[in-house]
Amino acid sequence: MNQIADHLPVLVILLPLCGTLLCPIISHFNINAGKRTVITALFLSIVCAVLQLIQVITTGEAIHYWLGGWAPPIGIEFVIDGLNGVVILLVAIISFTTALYSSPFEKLERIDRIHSAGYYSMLAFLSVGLLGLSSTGDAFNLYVFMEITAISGYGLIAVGEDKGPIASFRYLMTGTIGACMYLLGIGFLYAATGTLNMADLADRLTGLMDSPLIVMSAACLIVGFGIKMALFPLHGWQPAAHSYAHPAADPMIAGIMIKIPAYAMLRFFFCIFDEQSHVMQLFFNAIGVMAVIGILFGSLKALRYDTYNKILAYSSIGQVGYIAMGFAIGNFYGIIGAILHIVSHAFMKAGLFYTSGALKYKYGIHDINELGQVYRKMPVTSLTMVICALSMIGLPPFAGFFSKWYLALGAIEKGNYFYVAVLILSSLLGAIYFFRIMEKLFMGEKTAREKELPEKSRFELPWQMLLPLLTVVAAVILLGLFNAYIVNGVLKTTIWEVVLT
Amino acid sequence: MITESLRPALAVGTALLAALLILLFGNRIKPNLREAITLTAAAIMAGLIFSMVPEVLKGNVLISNLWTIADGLSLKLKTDGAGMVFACVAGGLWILTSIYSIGYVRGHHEKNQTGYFAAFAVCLASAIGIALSANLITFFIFYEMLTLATYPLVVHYRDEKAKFSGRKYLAYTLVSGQLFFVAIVFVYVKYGTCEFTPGGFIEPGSMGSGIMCILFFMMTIGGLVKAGVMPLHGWLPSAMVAPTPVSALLHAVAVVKAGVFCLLRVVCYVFGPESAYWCSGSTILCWLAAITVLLSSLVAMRQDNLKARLAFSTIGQLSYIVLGISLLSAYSIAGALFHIVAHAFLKITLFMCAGAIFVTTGLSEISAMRGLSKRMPVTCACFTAASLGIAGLPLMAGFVSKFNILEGALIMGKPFFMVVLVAAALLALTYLIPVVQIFFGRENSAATLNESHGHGGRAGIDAAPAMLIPLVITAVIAIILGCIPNAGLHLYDMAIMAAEEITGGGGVYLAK
Repeated sequence: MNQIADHLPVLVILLPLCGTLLCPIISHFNINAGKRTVITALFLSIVCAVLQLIQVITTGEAIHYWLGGWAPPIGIEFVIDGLNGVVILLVAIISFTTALYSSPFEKLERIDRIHSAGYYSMLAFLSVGLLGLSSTGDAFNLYVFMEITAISGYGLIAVGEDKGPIASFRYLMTGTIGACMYLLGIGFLYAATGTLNMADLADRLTGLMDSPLIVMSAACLIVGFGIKMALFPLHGWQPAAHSYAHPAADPMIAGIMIKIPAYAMLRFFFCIFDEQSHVMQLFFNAIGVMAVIGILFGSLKALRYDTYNKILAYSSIGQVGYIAMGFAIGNFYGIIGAILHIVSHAFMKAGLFYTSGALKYKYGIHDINELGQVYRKMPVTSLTMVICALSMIGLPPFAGFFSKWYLALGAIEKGNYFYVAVLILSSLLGAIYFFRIMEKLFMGEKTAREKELPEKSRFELPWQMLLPLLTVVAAVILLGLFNAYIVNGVLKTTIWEVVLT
Repeated sequence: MITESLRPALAVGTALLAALLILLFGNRIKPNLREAITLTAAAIMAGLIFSMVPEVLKGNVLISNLWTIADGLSLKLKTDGAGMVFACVAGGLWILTSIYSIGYVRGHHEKNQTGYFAAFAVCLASAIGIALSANLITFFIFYEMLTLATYPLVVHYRDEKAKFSGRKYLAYTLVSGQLFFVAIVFVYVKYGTCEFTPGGFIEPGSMGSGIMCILFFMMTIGGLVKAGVMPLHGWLPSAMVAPTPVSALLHAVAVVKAGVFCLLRVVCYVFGPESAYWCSGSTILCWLAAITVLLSSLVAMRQDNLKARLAFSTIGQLSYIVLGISLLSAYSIAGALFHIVAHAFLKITLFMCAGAIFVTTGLSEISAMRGLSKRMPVTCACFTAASLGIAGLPLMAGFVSKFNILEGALIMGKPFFMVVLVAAALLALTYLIPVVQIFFGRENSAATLNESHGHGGRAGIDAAPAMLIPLVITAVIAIILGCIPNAGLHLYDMAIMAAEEITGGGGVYLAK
């Protein structure tokens, strides 16, 4: 047992990887068994993530796991502290619920063995990539995981709706540029320091912050991460990709695929670079400008669309801006706000895409004008939509309010009132487009629908779809009410010791 | 003496639990059982609140320190004089409005009754939460909850008109709520605390007076909007499209009173009279309130729709309370607090009468109600009594509070506001008494006597008992409180207690 406990950081990633590799083989014999392998692997991954987070909290120090026993800086290292412990758990939970959520979709489309195996393999592979991105303590290893994420992401977007392949191709083009930029960035860092281990990099960079190499590297990294997290003006690929991806995989793509690069950005700009240096302050200002324009742009664009997914996608551009704004604020509360927003927005946006998928699954609804009176048939879906939407607007006592609270606290502490003005303006714009949806849902006329699933079960949706919806509702409420326990119990020490040093 | 107690939290929790139960099972169980949930919860909540009154009168403070809601701040409820006055009114009136609601929605065959009762319960939970909050963040959470829970009630009919009113309501309340939010964060960063302190924790001179004035209005705008102080009153008449018990709840108990209570907390417990006066925020507030009192009465006179007339009357009466608070003397603050009570009972009586008339006869325009007293004598009598009370005639609850506010203006040496107060009381007579005259007029319009109107109206004498009994009770309470302000729950004592706490031992606090 102790043996297993020592290997938790790698098991979290290894289990989904096994799922990825085994799924096609097992699916060859039994399509359901292949699917279940992936779901089980992802569930075990949650268990490991929980155990490892508990270990970090109880011991109070970070876990350093050396892959293959090779000591860093030569070997690859996984570093798990309070901060990424939470992020890893988040990824594991959303991966598992999304895999579970996907299973009824297949029955609907009656897809064959190869497609099913491929879909689940890619889903698990996406999970591997995201978990790896959050665990690793090695800059080049991070690149590998970033590519894993991207490749599986391309696949999942391409198997989506009719326009999926085009959206995927566009993402492929932009995503490759992003990855190249990242590679260039760490190339510069390697040239300057001769190491790729993150902790080692941080040590060797002291005093080097003004060197042109580092400035180039930081610029490349902003573009690289900016593309991956769809930060304005690098968001071009995102609305199409989020709108046309496979409806079952969309919650994961929209919920966490753009958040984890944001987390990686935090690691680079706060843990590796010296955030107090003059150069970094300038970069943070640039990030702040991108964030502000992105928040307003995303919210305003979201007002224009009637397609549910498009509204959600543009809203994500704005919400990613919140996270970047937290980095730009850069003090304790700013970072807390950014991290809480990574977690809470992941749940909220995944939840909204779960509802979007459920609407497509049951009635084939894409357009919000077709939502009229759906709430009578789908009360749980509607409840999820309402709670996630209220949380997105930032109304108490839901999770979104508290990330906004910390961001505002950080911004005012720093004396940056402009950011606060943008925050509340974006909340109000959010209120407009979300209340517009809710108005249609509860007060619209019932319209003709593409399809109506015959009512077979007692519930509005199969349980595999209801469970993710309820998980998200619980998460958004609990994260809101008990955020202080995460902040004080897990994040506070890590942020003071690791991030703001 | 400060004691930890779960009672304040339980009072809020009961109503929330009731809302959850109604929402979950409301459509599966019989309506009678569903209404039983509401009534049981209302009774338990009222019992819990009333049981805390003796403690508060003894000077004890009950605190429910629940859990840390954000870094460094906890979700905390506490009983103090001011909060208990509001909580008693809201808790006591929930029972009566619930009974009335049952009569109304059944008599009128409303749709979506389950959602209606659930939202009603959340509104009450938030109102009690607002009353008992011990710090700004708890207050804000309940404040926004109230906004959200009221929205489904405003859009109850779900037609174009309701949608429009709902949007208007949200636009006013959400924008002001966001400004309030920023102000709270600012105060927390600058002063390191969010706890309500009698007399305030913001020191005059701790920042520039201009900045403080801006902060003052960013904080009070939430209250100003909900209290319908002009020019921020636009949502209130529009929200009249809602069913009448909702209007009664909005205009007499929960929303608008939460608005004035918000002002009280901000002016007296965050800024404190000294700072409020120093940054000249309270002076501006006085003028706004005075203008609203006068203008709203003039507008009310021109309304033919009974509910609309009552809505403008509400706007005026609430500004009375705002004026009382912003005069900053112990008398006027006590008067303002007691006017929360008096106006609650009086206005709810008036709205219940309007609703009873509508359900029984189908009439909503005043001009069509000639001779109504023959058809609905008890309702008309209660309406008359409450109208006189609103105007502030002696031996009615409205007199006690208005007299105190007047005394406050006298002590502060502000003769102009005394004139305004007296003029407004007279104006209240001019827009309510004509209604009474029409009720008791000789001629009978065809509609009132001959037809037993649609809407499931009854042919017998007066309204259905479920509507009639609550409105008689509220009218009687209003009269009792006018004769013996301290009857029952000692609300008057608690109001004075709170006022003395704020101004530091009563008497005059500021010399001009």
